[in-house]
Amino acid sequence: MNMRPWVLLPVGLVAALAVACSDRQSDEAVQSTENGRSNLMRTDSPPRSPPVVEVEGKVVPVLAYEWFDNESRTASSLEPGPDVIASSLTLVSAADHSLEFRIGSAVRPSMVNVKFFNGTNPMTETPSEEEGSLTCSEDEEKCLTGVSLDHVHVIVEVPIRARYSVLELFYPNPFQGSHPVFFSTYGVGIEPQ
Amino acid sequence: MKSAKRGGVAGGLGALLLVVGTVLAPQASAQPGEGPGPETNPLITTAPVLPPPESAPMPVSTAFAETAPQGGVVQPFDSVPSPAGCTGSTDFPHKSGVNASVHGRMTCTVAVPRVETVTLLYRDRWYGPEQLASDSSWRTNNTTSQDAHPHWNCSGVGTYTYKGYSQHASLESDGVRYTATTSNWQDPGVSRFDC
Repeated sequence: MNMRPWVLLPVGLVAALAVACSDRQSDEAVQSTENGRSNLMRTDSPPRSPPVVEVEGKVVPVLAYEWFDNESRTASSLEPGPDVIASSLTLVSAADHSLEFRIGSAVRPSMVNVKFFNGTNPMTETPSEEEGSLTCSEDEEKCLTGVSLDHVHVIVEVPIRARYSVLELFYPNPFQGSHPVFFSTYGVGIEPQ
Repeated sequence: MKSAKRGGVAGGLGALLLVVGTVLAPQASAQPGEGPGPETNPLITTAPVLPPPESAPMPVSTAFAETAPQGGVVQPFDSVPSPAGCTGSTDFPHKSGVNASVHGRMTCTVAVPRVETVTLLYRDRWYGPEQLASDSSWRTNNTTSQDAHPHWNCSGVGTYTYKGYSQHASLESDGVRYTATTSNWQDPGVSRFDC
């Protein structure tokens, strides 16, 4: 575990909350996938809409999503328009090279990916030069997740050169086979250290 | 923008709509066929046309049993593993001729009433995944779903990383449906290429 001790403190609290709330959520709710393989488990239902995500107390706008409303039976999707460029992303400090995403739903995603970029595409002005990506269930040394009463927390180690980060959340849809997967993504800019 | 190239999730599952609390066994026994799904509408639509619940051929891709969670309600649940030892898997996306392709499947240690895999092919963009194609495959009274293998013509689109994502579901003899999700990609290896 390369993460700093202070990072572990909130994680410990989150873990304790997770245990306390075990009647609502199970630690095994997130179905890990190793080498593309996973055991089948009973699962939870996804939130009604893409969850609100906060970093350092700032609400991070959704970059993209594909969602399905099981009550109205309507699908919706979003991709960023041309006005969404690197400089428009919410700026965060990522102090001590760590980011904590606070996801406004206690439903644990089936998969959490975090990507980092250290440059900007001169043509599109969007983040480029991917520095690396993490799948939190597989990279536990660099990405920790936990669940509290009404939030899921993702704490991730930020590469030194990273200037942007994109969080990807996946949820399985237990109701609608034509839309088996929901996802939403969120992007932040990282202040130079 | 988003196309289900062959079969497609919607078709493979018969645009299945799961109504929680439906009696499982009769539907399972009523399932007429097996294999990849028929041609159907694009995966993502703004107003999908779905059959009424009673005509849905088979509820799959779900996990709940008797309880009836409503949309958006956080439900208590347990994490009972599949009694039949079902596991799902997604291979790494790869270049196949002019196509980007990926295979997903699930297998069980003993035959179960229904096994199904829905596999989605994504192209990785900076802002997240862009869904390109989907496919599904299922079997009844079997130990395997066989492969779902969506593919997408990637000629001339440039170099991208492709990701495979599968939803697996089994309806087992205890009447419970179990699910798992798997994914795979190799970066910058086999799953990043120019067609």
